[in-house]
Amino acid sequence: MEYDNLDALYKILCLALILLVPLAPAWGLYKIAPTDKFLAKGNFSGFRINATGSAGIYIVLFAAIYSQTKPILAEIDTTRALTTQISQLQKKLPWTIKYNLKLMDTDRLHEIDQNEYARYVQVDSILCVPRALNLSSDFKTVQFYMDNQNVTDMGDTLKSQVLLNGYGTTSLIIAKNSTSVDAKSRTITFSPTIYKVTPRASQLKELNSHEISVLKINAGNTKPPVMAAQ
Amino acid sequence: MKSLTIILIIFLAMITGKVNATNLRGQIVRNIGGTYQPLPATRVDLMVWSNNKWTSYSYAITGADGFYYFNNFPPGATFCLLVLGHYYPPKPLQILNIPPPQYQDLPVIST
Repeated sequence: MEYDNLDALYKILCLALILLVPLAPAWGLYKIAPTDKFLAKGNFSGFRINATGSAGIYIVLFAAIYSQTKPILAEIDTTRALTTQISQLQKKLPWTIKYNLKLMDTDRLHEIDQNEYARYVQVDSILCVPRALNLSSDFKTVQFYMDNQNVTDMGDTLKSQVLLNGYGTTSLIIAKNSTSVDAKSRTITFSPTIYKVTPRASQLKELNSHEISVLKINAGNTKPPVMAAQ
Repeated sequence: MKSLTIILIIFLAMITGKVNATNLRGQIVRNIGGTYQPLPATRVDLMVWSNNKWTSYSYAITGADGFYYFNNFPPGATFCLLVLGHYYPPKPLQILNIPPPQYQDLPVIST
């Protein structure tokens, strides 16, 4: 819910009412009985009042309405403070991350059968940070929550990954200003099309026939390569 | 053998923007009696050189055939691989601009 800041307008409206509402009966008295004697005498907010006729009526009504507007104006300020607090809290609500998966078959042209999704996407085996909380009944949508701070720390681009047996690790990237990011509902939707991977079937054979070389483990590669500082 | 699973991971990594994506493919093997056999269910970390340090950018798990895949990764990054506590290759590689469905094939690693 968004709160539009119309407080200034409300306050102007209140002030306008204070000034204009008493005019109606004052004008009415002036029209009906202009010679009637009506006396308003006393102090009001440090001013000494001594008025007659319709002016007296106006001042009396003005004073009466004015005494009621102060609480109203204070209420507007209190409401604004509360709505500001609510807005601040809403900005810290966690985000919902939703994956609408589309898994492709080996031919890369057709989606796998609907009943195949349950083979690849299993709710009991979902591991993530944070843990997935919801899997749709067709096993095509996975949904979980992420703290607002984590989303903020990602910067302008959101990056996540899906790791699926038979599909490898797929990197998913969207810009924060894309239509996939709904700041209002605090939902980020990824709709990846993920393709089955294809190994090099002959590689092991080539390896064992020494047609290709292999990188071997050694005592020296327990540290990462040394790079020149940039 | 692991049952078929889905692992969702959110990383706090910055990406430079939308670019062409490259699929990387590699295999982990082990030498058993003089013959190389695939090494399944092994974690392979993609270490990327960024901000003057090596960072684990992503990881994959080898399948029954020892193969692992990193799909849809932006080309240009300098990287090496971390497998069972060891880094490969001695000289880091770069993610090339190879459009899918082709793969950038990585050197076979023997643990």
